[in-house]
Parts: sequence; structure tokens; C-alpha cells
Amino acid sequence: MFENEKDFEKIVNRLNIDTKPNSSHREKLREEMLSVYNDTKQQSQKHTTPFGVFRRKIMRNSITKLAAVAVIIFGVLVGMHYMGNPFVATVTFADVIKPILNAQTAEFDIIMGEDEQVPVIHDMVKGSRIRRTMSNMEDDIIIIDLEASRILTMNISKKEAAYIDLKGLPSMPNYMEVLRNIIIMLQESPHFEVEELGQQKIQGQSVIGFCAKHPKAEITIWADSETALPVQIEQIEPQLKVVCKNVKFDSPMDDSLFSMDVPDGYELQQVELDLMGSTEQDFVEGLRIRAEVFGEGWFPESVAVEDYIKEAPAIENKMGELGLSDEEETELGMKLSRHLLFIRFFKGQGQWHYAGNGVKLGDGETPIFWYQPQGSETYRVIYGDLSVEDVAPEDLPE
Amino acid sequence: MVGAMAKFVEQTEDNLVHRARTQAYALGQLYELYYERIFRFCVHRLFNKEIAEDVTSTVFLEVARKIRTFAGRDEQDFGNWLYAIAINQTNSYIRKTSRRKKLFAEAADSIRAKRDESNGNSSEPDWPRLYAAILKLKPQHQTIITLRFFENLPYERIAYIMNIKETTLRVKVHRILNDLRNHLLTVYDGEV
Repeated sequence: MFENEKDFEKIVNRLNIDTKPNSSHREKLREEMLSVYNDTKQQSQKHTTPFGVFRRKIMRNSITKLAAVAVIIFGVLVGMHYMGNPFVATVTFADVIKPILNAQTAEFDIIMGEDEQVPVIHDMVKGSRIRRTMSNMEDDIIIIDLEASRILTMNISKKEAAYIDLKGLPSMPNYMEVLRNIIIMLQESPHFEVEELGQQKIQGQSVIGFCAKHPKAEITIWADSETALPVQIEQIEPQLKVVCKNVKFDSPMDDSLFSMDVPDGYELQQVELDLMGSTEQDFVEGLRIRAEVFGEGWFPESVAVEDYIKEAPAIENKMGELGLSDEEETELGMKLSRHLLFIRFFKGQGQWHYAGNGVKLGDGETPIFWYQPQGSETYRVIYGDLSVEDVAPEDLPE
Repeated sequence: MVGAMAKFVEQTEDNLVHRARTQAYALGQLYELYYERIFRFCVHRLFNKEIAEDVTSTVFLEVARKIRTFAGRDEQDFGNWLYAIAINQTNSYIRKTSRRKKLFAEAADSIRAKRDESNGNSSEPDWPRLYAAILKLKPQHQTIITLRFFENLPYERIAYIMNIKETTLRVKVHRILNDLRNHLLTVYDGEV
């Protein structure tokens, strides 16, 4: 037998256990792992496309007032997503969520995805309205009226404005009230667990973390160690991470910042968008546009929402160069919006998979996107020529 | 020179972990660095190579799904994270005992047959018997024994991975070995 650690070490060393790996497993797993990695979120650096050459010029004069529509829409969806997957309180969690429960206004920066270069969305929230600005689109101001289900977007340098009426969004008289109600309702949910993460520093500030877990969501809140005020909220979905930083509650905010009135001298346009009505066809059409109009015939490296945010200014510039009429630009913007909504409000089972990076439009042999619709036993697979087939799970691309 | 080299290696690895959040190639390099270590740990915890392959796959697929949100900064953080995932996955597998028992019995028979052919007179516990005794320990203790004596990790690192104090760990190891010694006296061939 053995008397001490040294003896036991010798016994273990003499066991001569076969731990030699199987090279075929090693290689197969490597491929599988990298495939999962690429599917999870295609976030590698994008190839830059020179804007001067397009496969198809669409039309004439450039008006870009609606080029930001898509950006605005998924901006709203951050708010929706934030409300739809709230965190929950436990006894140990109570101090941290107390400021949220009592706040009349809120202000925070939203960062989607992991890339440090991703643009920052700044939100100010008061009553039913959100004032949203983005670090990479400094001339654009977006006011979201959740009660009226309407967005006002303004470009202050071009003096252009647009009302976007949203279908499919429930009326919310007070954003903070909705958030409060959801938190209170879920406090008694048996499915939530809260784990204390200990202390760390965020930008020099000592914070304490809590991770609230639910089968469908995982939210981490970092709060000031002394005041218990939340300073950073992180939420991880299967295919998206959203971080709210620099959180402040009850900052004084003038009502004029949230006005839905269009200033004098602005050119105004009005459109309607169905948030929940995006279809597979809309998504496919968006793929075609992104390859044909913006990718010189190549599909984008990623269809993730956060990657589109980074591309938004370039897309806006490019749309300006296309020389479109108002109507044409509106139509293009709406198509891109519906394309993004398919991903942002993905309604299929499990995760979607994208493999279009490096694939040319028209390549009928290469699958570029697949997903499983709700209630379906088969998958929908979109190929590089934008044809779509039903495919059994065992026949899916590897 | 050694210091400079160490710093260079450290920086390279740091960059590798950082780059793996956005670059598949970097993740592939990390995989090559760690595959054998994790597979070996799984074999030691699960006894059967076939099962160890399955669980190793689960570990690295989880890494693929979560590396983009991995908060660690360097290779050591990454390694600790990998071991933590592997510990959870192996413990989870061991809880599902039905298939494991069958495979264990088959593998143990095979090992014993080979042992009997070569050297059947040893008084020391063989691997199947030692494994059976280890399985009688608490899951946390099983992991500690594996990391310390089979993976040869230093106490400091095991304490970090297991989130316990190093001094507590040293005391625990002493007690666990006592328990293990007692279990070895009571296990019989083929028991799991």
C-alpha cells in the first residue's frame, strides 16, 4: 500500500495508464470545434470593400435620410431585449436591484458583441421614451416613443427626419415601470438562480458581481461595492452578448430631449415597419442586397447584428453614392431592416448558422445559412445562389 | 536572456488567448496546446478512453461556444478555465453511471488480462482497483486526487481551479489519501 504522498505518487507513476490520444479523434474534434466557433458568431475582421465599384448601380440622386433605418430598428430591439429578459432579485441580490426598482430615469451605454471597436449606443430613458445616439453616427439622434410605438430619427447636419411607425410592438406607457413590473413578477420565479461573483475593479471602481441565471438567459450585474448602485449589466444570449456600461439612475433629464416634434426646416419622411413580420424571404432578399450591392458579389463575413452596427456608417455612405431616389432608398432601407429583424428576432429552434464568408453570390453548391423553423423536423438551408431547401438533420452541412 | 524569453513566451500566449476570441486560427493553436492535457485528465477521471474522447469533445465544443466571452487574460487563465470545464463535465458524466459501469467493467477486464500476461504478482493496487477506490471518494476529492497525482499540478494551481485555500487543500489531500487507503482495503475486483 502507501504511507504518504510520496508513496502514492510512486504508485501512480508505476500504473502506466494508457493516455495516448487517438489522432483521428483529435483532428475531427479540431474541425468540429472550429466549425462551432465560426457558427457561434462570425466576428472576425471584415474585408473592406471599395465603394467605387458596384455590380449594379441602382439609380440617381443621393438622399440618405433612411439609410440609418436598419440601425435604428435593431437599436430599438436592444431595448426590447433588455426588457424581455430581465434579471431577478433574491435576498442577496436585493440591494443591487433596489435602485432599478426605484428609478425614474436611467442612462447607460450599450455595447453589443465582444469586439472592442464596436460602436457604443448611448441611451437615456425617461417615461415611455428613449433618446438614443451612437458613437459612429454622431449626426443622428433617435427618439423612441414606446407608448406610441413610433420612432423619430433626425440627422442634424442634413436636416432630415423620419417617423417610423412600428407594428408588433406592445404599447409601453412607461419603460421603467414595465421593467419594474417584470422584475417584481420574476422575483418569485423558481427558475432563477443568483450567484455572487465576488469583487473586482471596473475602470478603477470597486464593484461586486452577481450572476442571475435562467434557462433562457444569463445576466451579470456589477454594482458599486459601497453604494450597491449597478454600474455594468451584461447579458449573454446564445448568439449575442450585450453589455450596459456606465449605468446611472435618476439623472435629471429635460423633457425637450425626448420631444417627438420635428424641428423647423427639416425634410420629413414617414414609413411603417412590422417588427415581428420578418420572413425567410426577407432574410434571403437582404443577403442578396448585401452581396450584390454592398459586397461586390460576395456574401458578408457575418450576418450578426453587432457586426452590422459596425458597418452601418459605411452602408449609409455607400447608399449615398448609389444615387437612389427617395422611394428607392426607402425601399432598400426597409429591406435591410427586415433582413436584420429576421436575425434579431430569430424565431427558429436553437441557433442559426452562417457560413457565407468567402462565398460568391450564385454559388449553388455551397450552403451559406441554415436553421430549424419552430415545430419542424427538418432544417431550411440557403445556398449561395439563394435557393432554399428542406434538409434532414443528418444531411446538414458539417 | 531566460527572463526575456519567458516574457516573450508569456506575451505570445497572452496574445494567443486574446486573439482566440476573434480568430479561429488562434483558437486552433490553443487547442493543439491543450488537447492532450485535457484528454489525459478525462482518461484519469473516467477510466475509459472512448468516454474520455466524448467528454473531451464536450469540453472543447463548450470552449468554442464561450471563448468569445471568456474574461481571462493569459494562458494560465485559459488553462484553469479549461480544467474547470473538464471537471464539471467529467463529474457530470460520472453521475450518469449506467453506461460508465459497463464500459468500466470491459476496460478493467482488458487491463487485467494484459497485466496477468506480463506481471500478475504485484502487491500494489492496479489501475482498475485504484480507480474503483477513487470513485468511492466525494466528487471534489476525486478531482483533487486526479489533478494532484495524475496531472501533477502544483497545489497553488489546484487551489485556484477548485476555488479553495491552498492550506485547506494540503490538509484535505492528507485526509483524502487516508480515505483512499481505507477504500482500497474494501474494493473488490470489478467493483465501480
